[in-house]
Amino acid sequence: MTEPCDLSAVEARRQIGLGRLSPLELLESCIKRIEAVNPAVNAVVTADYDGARRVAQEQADAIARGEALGPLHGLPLGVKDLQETAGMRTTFGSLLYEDHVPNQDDLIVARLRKAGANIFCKTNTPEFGAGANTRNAVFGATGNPFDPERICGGSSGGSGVALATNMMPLATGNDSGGSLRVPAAINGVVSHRSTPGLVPSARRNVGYTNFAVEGPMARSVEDMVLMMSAMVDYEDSDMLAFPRDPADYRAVQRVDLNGLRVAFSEDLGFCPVDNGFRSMFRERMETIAPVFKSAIWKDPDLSSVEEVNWILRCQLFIARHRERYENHKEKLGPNVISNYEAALEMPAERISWAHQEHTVLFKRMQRFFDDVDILICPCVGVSPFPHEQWYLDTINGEKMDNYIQWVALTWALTIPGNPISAIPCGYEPSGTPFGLQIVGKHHDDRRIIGVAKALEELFEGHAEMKRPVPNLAKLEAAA
Amino acid sequence: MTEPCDLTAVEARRLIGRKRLSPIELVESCIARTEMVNPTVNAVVAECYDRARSEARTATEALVGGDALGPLHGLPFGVKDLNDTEGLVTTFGSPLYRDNVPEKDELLVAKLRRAGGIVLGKTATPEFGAGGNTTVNAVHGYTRNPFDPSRACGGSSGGSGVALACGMMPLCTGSDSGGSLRKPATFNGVAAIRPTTGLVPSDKRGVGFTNFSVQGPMARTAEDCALMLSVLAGDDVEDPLSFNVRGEDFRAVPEIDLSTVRVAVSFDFGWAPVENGIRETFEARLAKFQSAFKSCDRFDPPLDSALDVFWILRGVQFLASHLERYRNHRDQIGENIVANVEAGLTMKPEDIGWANAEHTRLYREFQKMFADYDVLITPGQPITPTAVEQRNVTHVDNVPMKNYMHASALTSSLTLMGNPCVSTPCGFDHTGMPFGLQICGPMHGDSYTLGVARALERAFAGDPDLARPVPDLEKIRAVDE
Repeated sequence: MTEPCDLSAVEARRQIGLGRLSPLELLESCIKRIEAVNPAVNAVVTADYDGARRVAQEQADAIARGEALGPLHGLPLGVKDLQETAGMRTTFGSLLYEDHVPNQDDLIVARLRKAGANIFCKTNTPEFGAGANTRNAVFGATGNPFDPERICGGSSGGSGVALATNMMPLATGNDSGGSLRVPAAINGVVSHRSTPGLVPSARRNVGYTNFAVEGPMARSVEDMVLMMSAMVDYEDSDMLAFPRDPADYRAVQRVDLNGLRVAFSEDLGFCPVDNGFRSMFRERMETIAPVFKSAIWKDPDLSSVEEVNWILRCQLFIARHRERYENHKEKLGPNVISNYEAALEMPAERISWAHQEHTVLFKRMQRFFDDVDILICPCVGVSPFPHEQWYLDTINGEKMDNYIQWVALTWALTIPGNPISAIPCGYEPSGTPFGLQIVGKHHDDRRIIGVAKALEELFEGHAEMKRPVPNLAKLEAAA
Repeated sequence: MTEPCDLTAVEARRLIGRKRLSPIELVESCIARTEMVNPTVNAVVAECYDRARSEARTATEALVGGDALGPLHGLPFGVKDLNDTEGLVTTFGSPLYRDNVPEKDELLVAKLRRAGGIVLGKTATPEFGAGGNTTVNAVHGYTRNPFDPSRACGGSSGGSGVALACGMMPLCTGSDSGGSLRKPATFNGVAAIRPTTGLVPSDKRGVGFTNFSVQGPMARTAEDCALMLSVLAGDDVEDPLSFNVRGEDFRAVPEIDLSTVRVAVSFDFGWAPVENGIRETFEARLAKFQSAFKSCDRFDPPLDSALDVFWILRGVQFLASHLERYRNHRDQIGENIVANVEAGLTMKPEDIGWANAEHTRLYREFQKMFADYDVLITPGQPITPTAVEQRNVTHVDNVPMKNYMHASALTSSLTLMGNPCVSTPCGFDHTGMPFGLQICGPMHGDSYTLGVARALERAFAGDPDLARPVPDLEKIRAVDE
């Protein structure tokens, strides 16, 4: 039987507007699901149910008074624990902030609240978002809903799991190296990493970099766009923000797949990808290829991206963590420390080279889209590993250099900064979800999202590419 | 008597549209003016008069044919010698490129041509645009201030500033990292806008994710700057900071009633070097016009660390642009480039990381002032033009400068912010050279800021203390040998 918490955001909002579903009912249903399933997966790490009930009551009253309702009116929404929520604990996954209760919402949290979202809980993240294994010293690990002993991806891992298990219809994420995309893929949900500046952030501490982007996560492309329409708008505290009409994102742009020129790439030319994933991806893409106007196998030239990413990432670690490293090193985890110490070794010459090469890569990637409209590649190229392991150190028998190499498929595309929708595409060989990245030209977000929606519809008709759903009864029993 | 070359771009374009001025007449008038004064001031360092004449003929025929006309139809313009021009020598002020003839226009030149503009020549710049005090390079020598040829014209868009002041052409291109649009505008009594970061895309910025280098219009009035900006603004996939806007939205300058404008006035941000004579001039000018505004408060925006941030980030960018030349052609590059590269090589990763984060913090703090103020007004430049031979400003009122960018803090600090900055002439300074204002508006408030500048131009017109200074061309006319 479908509970209110199992409804899509769009459907729930529609029923709320029609007076058929009350914000209270929906909230209680979400809370009930969290209580049933969360002990098995540990996705929600902080919650304020009483506060949320009061908000839901006010929202129900507003409906009764006939007030104009925001686009997210009455929808319970989870916020990644890297984003500050006024009055609700925000730890950044760090012992240093174990008891930190912000006075203020982050910009996008404030926007979502203003649009009517009922912000009722926080979702787990690795320490300061470093790494794609959602595990930290404050809350422990978040488990994969398809196999709780394994990783759920990250750094927006808690959000991915909470959505997959229908604990809430919408959740926030952010992405520097794949943190919106990896957990979407691993949990079988959707997300969009937008062109930098489209969804502004007031807290990126290095303004002129396209690394960190805030974004929506949901179970369907339509839900994701509903959320995005409340996040897009100009904000002068973000150096990359530009004027844009949020109305452009109220509806999904209709895209016909038969008019598209598509390129498929199984590893972007250099990423470590499990051999089983390669053949599975090839097979599925060959199945859908006839739908498009043209479909070719072509890798973008990203030959220098690994070095550029590492150098620029190290610079960001200095900007973010210097004070903590110098004064509270004992409270930092291994990923943050190793990344920071690598950063101290970089000469200015290498840093300036990386800045310049970053721009070269950007331009080259835009040219790639002269001949094709869309690039499709896997989001994650390996099966989830046990979360006991900090990261995956071996792929196809080859040793990985550092803790981010196994997620190269996503950070490689962060560097050029093109917009990317992540969508599910069936199961991977070990029985957890498999996901795709749908990539397009700079500023072409609306079309990318339109393509994601059309592919979502297409996959509905293919048993092996449908969105996977976890077995909730099993999780409940385990709890 | 007003020659066609003395008309504003907007007026000339209007007359062309009404067939009361032909592009041929206008181009000939500009050529005649250039030939008359350029030998003294050396603003135009390469010309393409034959091609310009031929394009002017075609533009004139198009009028007769009733073709649709571009917004710059028939208007001659000058191109800074840092910008690639197809078929016309482009040296970047460097002997390494003495004979460089590009095969293709760079993006902004192509846009201006597509809009109907006619390239008349190249305007002088220091080597690779480095060093804004005086425009000099080993290929072309000195460019001189038309108000006093023994004095500097500023830079790095110095040739453009001089060419405009002398009426050689109605529009010129410029670019600005630390003040290179704004300094020559002020020193030569003309107008410029350093647009909001990303508004004018460039296909040539080597480091894409920075707001340092920005291209922009130079002209004699704010309205002419807006006309040119409307052609340059717009998205381009070659520039990662560009975004989708309609250029034509910038063409009409909004009417701004000065009595609605809340102004913050800062002499020096509380710390930037500014000469006493400039302070006194600014004080005296403010006394004449500040009552026009709704309010005019003394307010120093918090920019205290801007000088250090600018110097570190600039060092990193110099390495990106010039390290290869420094290593392989050191004998052919000048002292400013060498000094900047060497400074860059000594920078530590911790300091670079700090500068990136501090840059962002400064930016955010700065934007908050626009909750209380509509624009920030400062002196256009901190000093009066020096002797033309002086490469760098080493002292301001006897206070030694830390490095060669120190004296540009009044403009370079606002570069870091990325807000639109308009340079507007405002009479003469204490030494009889042009004085001007820097008007800084909110992010993306380019049109508004130009609107404030135009309202001030109108308020200043007719008052000899405030009106735009014009050089005495008879004094600098080339004498027949």
